[in-house]
Amino acid sequence: MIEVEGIRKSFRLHKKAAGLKGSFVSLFHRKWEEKHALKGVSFKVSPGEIVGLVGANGAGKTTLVKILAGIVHPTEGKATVLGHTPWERKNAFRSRIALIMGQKASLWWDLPAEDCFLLLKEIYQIPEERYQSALKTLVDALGVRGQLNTQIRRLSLGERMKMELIAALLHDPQVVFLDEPTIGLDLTAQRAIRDFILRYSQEKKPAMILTSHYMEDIEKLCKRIIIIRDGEFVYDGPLAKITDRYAKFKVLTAKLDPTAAVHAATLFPKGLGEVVSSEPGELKVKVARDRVPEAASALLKSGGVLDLLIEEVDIADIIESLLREGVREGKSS
Amino acid sequence: MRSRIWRYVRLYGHFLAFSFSKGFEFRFDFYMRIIMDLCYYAVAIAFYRVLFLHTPNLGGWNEHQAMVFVSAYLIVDAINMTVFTNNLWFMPQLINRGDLDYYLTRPVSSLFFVSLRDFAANSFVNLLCALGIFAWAVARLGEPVSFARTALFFGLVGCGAFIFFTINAMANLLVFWTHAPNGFGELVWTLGKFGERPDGIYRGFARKVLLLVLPFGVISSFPARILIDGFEWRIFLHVVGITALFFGLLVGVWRFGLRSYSSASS
Amino acid sequence: MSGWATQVVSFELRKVFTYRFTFWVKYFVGAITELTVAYFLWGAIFAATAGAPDSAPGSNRLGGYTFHGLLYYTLFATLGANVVRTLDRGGEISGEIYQGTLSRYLVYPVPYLAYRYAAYFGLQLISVGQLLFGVSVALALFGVPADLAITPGSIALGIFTALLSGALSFTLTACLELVAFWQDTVWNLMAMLRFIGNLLGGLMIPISLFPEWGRSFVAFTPFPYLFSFPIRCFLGQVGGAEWFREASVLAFWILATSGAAAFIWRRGTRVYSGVGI
Repeated sequence: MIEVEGIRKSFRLHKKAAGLKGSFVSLFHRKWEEKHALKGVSFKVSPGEIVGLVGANGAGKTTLVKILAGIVHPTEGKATVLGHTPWERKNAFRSRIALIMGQKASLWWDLPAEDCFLLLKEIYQIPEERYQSALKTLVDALGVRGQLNTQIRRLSLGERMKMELIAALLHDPQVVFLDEPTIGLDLTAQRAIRDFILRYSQEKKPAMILTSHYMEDIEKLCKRIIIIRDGEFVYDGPLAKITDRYAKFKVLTAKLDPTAAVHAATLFPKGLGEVVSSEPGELKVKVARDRVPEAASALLKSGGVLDLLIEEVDIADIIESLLREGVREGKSS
Repeated sequence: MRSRIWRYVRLYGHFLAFSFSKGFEFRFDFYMRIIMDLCYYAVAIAFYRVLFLHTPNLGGWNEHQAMVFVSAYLIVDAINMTVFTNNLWFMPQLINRGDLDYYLTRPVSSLFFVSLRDFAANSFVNLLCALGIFAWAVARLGEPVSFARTALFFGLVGCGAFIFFTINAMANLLVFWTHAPNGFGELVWTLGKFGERPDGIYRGFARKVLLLVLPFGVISSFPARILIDGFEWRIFLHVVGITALFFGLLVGVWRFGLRSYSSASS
Repeated sequence: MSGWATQVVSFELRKVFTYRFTFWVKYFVGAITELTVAYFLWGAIFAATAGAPDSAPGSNRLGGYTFHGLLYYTLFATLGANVVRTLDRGGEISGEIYQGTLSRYLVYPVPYLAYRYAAYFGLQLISVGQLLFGVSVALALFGVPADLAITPGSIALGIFTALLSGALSFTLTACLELVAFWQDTVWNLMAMLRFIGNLLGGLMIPISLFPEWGRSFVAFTPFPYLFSFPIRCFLGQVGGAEWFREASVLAFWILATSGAAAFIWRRGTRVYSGVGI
C-alpha cells in the first residue's frame, strides 16, 4: 500500500550574522548551508497496519509524512502510495488519502464544523447517503453531535481536534497520515482520540502512519515502530521486539523485611549484576537477561526477601536512549 | 468536462455562502469599505478632471471618452477587490507558513482554492457603485451605445480583471523561492499604476512592453476602446489572447512553484 | 535621542536590510513607475497643447512648470513621500491593539507612541538615503531644469521639511490607527487617508494646476503640509520668510493632531482588554 525506496530530502538555509553589520552584509552576499532532512530511507506499510514514527524534533518525521502525502517533493528516491507517486498529486490519489496535523487547522475558523463538512463533501464528491452515514458514525464515535453547529473558533482544543478527525475521515480514506494528533490536548481528550483511532483502524483497516511525541500514543496504537534520527532510520520493526533487541537487562526489585538487620546490598553476589538502588526495605538490581534465573535464585536463597519483582526496562526509556545515542545495530537486520 | 465545471461552480457557491455569512458579522468594516472605495473613485475622477482643465485630449481621448476609460478601470478594480484581492493578500502567508498543506492533499485544483476561496462580500456593493460611474460616463458620451457593444465591453473588462489578477498572483508566487514575508505582490500593485492611464499616452518601447509583457495597457484601455470606437478584431483577439496566455503562465508557475514548496515544517 | 530610541531606530534599519531584495526593488520599481507614467502623461499633454505631437516638450509651461520641471516634481514627490510616510504601509499600532500584543509594550518603561515614532523615524532615515541616491543619479543624468533652483541647500531644506511633515503624517495616521481600540478593521480608514492625501497633498498633480477654488480649499486642510510643502522646498520654490510662515502652520497641525492622538490613546487604553477582539 505504501512503498518507499531511498527517499532523500535536502534544504538550503541561509545564515546571517547578528547585528546591523550582518544585516547590511547579507544585502549583498549570503551564506548558504545545506541541511539533510532525510538521508535515504526505505520501508513498506500494509493495509490495517499502524506504523508509529518516532523521533526528536527536526529528525525528519514530518518531512517524511509530507512527502508521502504529496505536499513536498523529495530530492531523490521513489515512493508509491496506493499505486501513485504522491507528489504527482493525481486526484485519484488525493481522494483516497487523508492528512491530519495536530498543529495546523484545516477547518474554516469562522464557520461551524458542519458547513466545513458540506464543503468537503463537495470536494471529495461523496454521495449524499454515504456522507450522511459516515458523518453519523464518526460524530457518534467521537461524541460531538452537540458541537456540530458551533463556530470552530468557539470549540475547545479537544473538540476542534475531533472535528479535524471527522473532516479527514469523511471520505473513507485508505491511507491516513496522523501528524501529532494529540499534541497539546488534556489526558481525557488524548485518550478519547487514541481509542477512536484504534477502533477506526480495526474497522476500516486503512494503512496509517502516526507520529507523536507521546510514548503512550505509540505504545497503545502501534504494533510496529520506526525510530528516526537525523534523517535516518535507527530501528524499524515490531514494538515488542525492541525490548528483546535493545533491553539487554532486566530489573529485579526485591522487597526486604525491614526488621531483618541485614545490609541489603550484601545480599546480592557481586559479578551477577549491578545494584541500581539500595534502601532499607528495597533493593533494585540490573541483571543481564540470560542471568536472571541465577540472580533471582541467589536473592531468594539469601533470606530476608519478602517479594521479588522482575521487570523489563521501560519501552519509552529504551526509545529515548535510542534517540539520544542512536544505537545502530538494529539497522542491519 | 461539463460535470467538472458544475462541480467547481458548486464549490464556488460554498465559498460565496461562507463569505456572506462572515461578511455580515463585521458591520463597521462593511460600511467603511464602501466609503473607502467611494473616496478612491472620487480621487480618480477628480484627477482626470484637473488634467482636462489643461488639455483638450489625452492619448487620443477627449474628457468624456477618458471618463469611460476611468469607469473601466474602476470596474476592474472593483472586480479585483471583490473576487481576488483577499486571496492575493493571503497567498504569500499560505506559502511561507506552510498552510498550503491541506489544500494540496485535496482532490481539487489547489490553485482554484487558493485563488478564489475568499470572496469579499463587503466589496460587492462597490461593484454597483463602479457600474453607476460607468452609466454616468456613457451617458455623457452623447452617442448611443449598442447593447452588444456594452456586453462585449463587460466581457473584456472581466478578462482585464483576470489578467490583472494573474500578474499579481505570479508575483506573489515568487515567495516559493524567496520566502520574503509579503512577496512581490505589492510591487506589481505599484506597476498597476500604468493601467490607470490611457494606453494612448505610451509610445515606443514602453508601449510594446505595456501591451505584451506587462499588459497593464490592455486591462482597461482595450475594453474602453471597443466601447468607444466599436468592435475591432485586433483589439478583441489581443485581450483574449493575453488572457489565455497569462492563465497558462500562472498554472505553469504554480506547478513549478509547488515543486520547491518546502512546507515550513512544524 | 535617548538610548532606547537609538536601539529602536537601528532595529528598524536591520529589519529592512534583512529582506534585501524587496527593499531595493520596492524603491526602484516605485520611483521608476511613477517617473515613467509621469513622462508619458505630461508628454502627451504637452504634445496635445503644443500642436504637433512630437514637438520638443519644454517649449511651454503647465501650472508654472516646464516638462523637465514636472518630471523633477514627480521625482521629489515620489522619493519625498517615502521620507514623509516611509515605505511601510503602516498598521503596526492597530495590529498590536487587535492582536493584544500591545500589552507587552504597556509594561515597558517607555511611552508607546514615542516608541512607535522612533521606529518610524528609523524608516524615514532609510528613505532619506534612498532619496539622496535617486536625486544624485537624476541630476547627473538630466541636469537641473531651467525653471527650478534645485541646489544642495534646497535639498537639505527639503529633507528637513519632509522629516517634519513625517511627524504630521505619523500623528495623523496614529489617530486613525488608534480607532482599533473600538473597531477591528481600521486599514480602510488609513487607505482613505492615503487616497485623499495623494490628491489634496499634491502628490498626483501639483496643487498649482488645481482650479482657483480647489487651491483655496486645500490650504485649509493639513494635506499640502504633508507633501506639497516639502516638495516645493526641494525644488527651491520656498524662500526664508515663506518657509517660516508655512512651517508654523505645519507645526500647528502637528500639535493639533498629536493632541488628538494623545486624547484617543487615553480613552482607548481605558477600554483596552488586552486580548484580541
